Amino acid sequence: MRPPSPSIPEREFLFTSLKQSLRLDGRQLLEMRRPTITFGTELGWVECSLGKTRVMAAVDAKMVKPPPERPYEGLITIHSEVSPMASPEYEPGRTSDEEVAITRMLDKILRRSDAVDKESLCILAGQRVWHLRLTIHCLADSGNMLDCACLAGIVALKHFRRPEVEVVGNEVTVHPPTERAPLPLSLHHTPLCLTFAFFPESSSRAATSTSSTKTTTVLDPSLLESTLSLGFLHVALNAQRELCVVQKAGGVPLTEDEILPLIKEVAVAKVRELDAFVESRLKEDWEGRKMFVEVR
Amino acid sequence: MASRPDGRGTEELRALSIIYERLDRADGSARFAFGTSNSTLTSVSGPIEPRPQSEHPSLTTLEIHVRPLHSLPSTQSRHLAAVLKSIFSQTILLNQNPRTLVQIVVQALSVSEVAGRSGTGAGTAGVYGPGTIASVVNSASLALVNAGSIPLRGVVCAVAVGRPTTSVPSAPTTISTLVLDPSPEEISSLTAQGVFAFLISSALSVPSAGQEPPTELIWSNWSSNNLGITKVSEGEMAELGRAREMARQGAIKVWWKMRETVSGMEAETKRLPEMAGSRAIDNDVTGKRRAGGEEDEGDENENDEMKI
Repeated sequence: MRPPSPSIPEREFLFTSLKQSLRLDGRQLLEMRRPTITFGTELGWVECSLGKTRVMAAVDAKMVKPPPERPYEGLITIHSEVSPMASPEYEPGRTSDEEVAITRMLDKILRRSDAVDKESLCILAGQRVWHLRLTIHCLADSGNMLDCACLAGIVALKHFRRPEVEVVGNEVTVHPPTERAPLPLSLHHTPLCLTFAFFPESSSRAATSTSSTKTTTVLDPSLLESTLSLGFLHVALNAQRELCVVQKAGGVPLTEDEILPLIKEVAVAKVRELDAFVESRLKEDWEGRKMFVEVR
Repeated sequence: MASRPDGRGTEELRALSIIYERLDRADGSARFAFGTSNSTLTSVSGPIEPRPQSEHPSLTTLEIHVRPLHSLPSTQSRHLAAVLKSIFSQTILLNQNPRTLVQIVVQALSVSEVAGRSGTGAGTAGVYGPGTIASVVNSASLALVNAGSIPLRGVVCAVAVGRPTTSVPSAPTTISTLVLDPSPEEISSLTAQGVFAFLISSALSVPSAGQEPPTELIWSNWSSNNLGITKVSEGEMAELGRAREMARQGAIKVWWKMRETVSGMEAETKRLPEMAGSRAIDNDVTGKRRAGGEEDEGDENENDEMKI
């Protein structure tokens, strides 16, 4: 059930405010909402929120036989179907554009960018490998669910611990977490995603103008901003200034001197902050759990 | 009589936790958990616009989605959704808002089974064990109450009951022990298990603490595996009766806990003054209404918000 599109006064008000560098929720143009990360009792269960947008991610692992063409690598599956809980406009069975964007972006960031070392998931070559299953549940869509989902996904993978496995010859012994401490996944890097939304600068209809009009850019759009924006730029990078994914599917055309400063200056700085935040939260949570793991 | 792994009595529930999540895009949402496991989150939206093909000219359409914690919904999720639909079709007053849709989405937040099941448990607990099903029913009821926009006949509370293997009587004169609200560790050793859901509605009078509200069994999935028991003095129907009564007492405890938290929910909800007032009128759940008290509370909230 599609919600009604925003009214003309809402549109005009938003555009006028953005031209004056004012956002409706009081943020700066390039300010992100404050992220929060909550961990569950099980390892690999994480809930992230960006303002009112909330996403939960859960990881579980099982041992399977690998496909014959890749006997030395583990498998990773990402499930990210958006339920009507996030918003009544998402219908199960009918994949909306936003769902497709989220699924594709998650796939590129978490699987194709090789964030997880698949070879470390191999137990017995050709016979047993770990199959990781990351399930993303979008609980509330208040704009920019994609960033929240990517954050939840990568934090869940960092938080998850798989059982220790001992291989003697062809015998595989899985040690339950009560016997031996479970091991973290081997992650090459921590990609984090940022979304920029573009709005017209001049009051004339910028979308129809062919000359490269200057646009107003905001980071981490809210719900109304997402609905009214002229285009999005999704950038995924890690704290080591390495670019993983740049996705700009349609929307207002941009020149390189509009995009490059966003990536080189804004995105790099934000991702560094976000990465530091993620590390500190993981450390806090692990300190809290240590007392249950060390006692033998 | 063997004691339970977590030291509870046979008729003791785990600590219940109820949180009103206030999800931004849903009309009502609630998270319910038995202890630290069997946690579920339900969101309710309604009455909203239905899809044209599912619109009914004289009734509200009820749409229920169930999502497991890991992977995509499977047949078990669809079965649980059908069960919930049968329960809530009787609870919601469907003829009050024709041509509308009530959409309930259930999200399981924890796995209901502890890994390493010995395989002697009754039936196939699968992804949705008895604890999770009971938790789902409770969180759905709470979400409906939290939404406040959907007229209800009453509140449905559910608890699970099980018969542990160790309690199988050896002598024909003894009866088996039943336990209330089995935890995931206990589930693998149950030879009989089931969830009982009761519709509780104080339509006529509000019970004071200690009194029992009127209850009505609305759904159950009791299944019993009697292999190995040769002589039992009581029949299976008598055991079912005992299980049902034990569950009923447990459901009443759940109901009292829900009542406690609902008064907190009204004070927390930051709504516009006019909406707070109209909610009191729409809400047919008379069990939650203290005679005249709800209107007064609404006025108090109104004053507080005006001052701000």
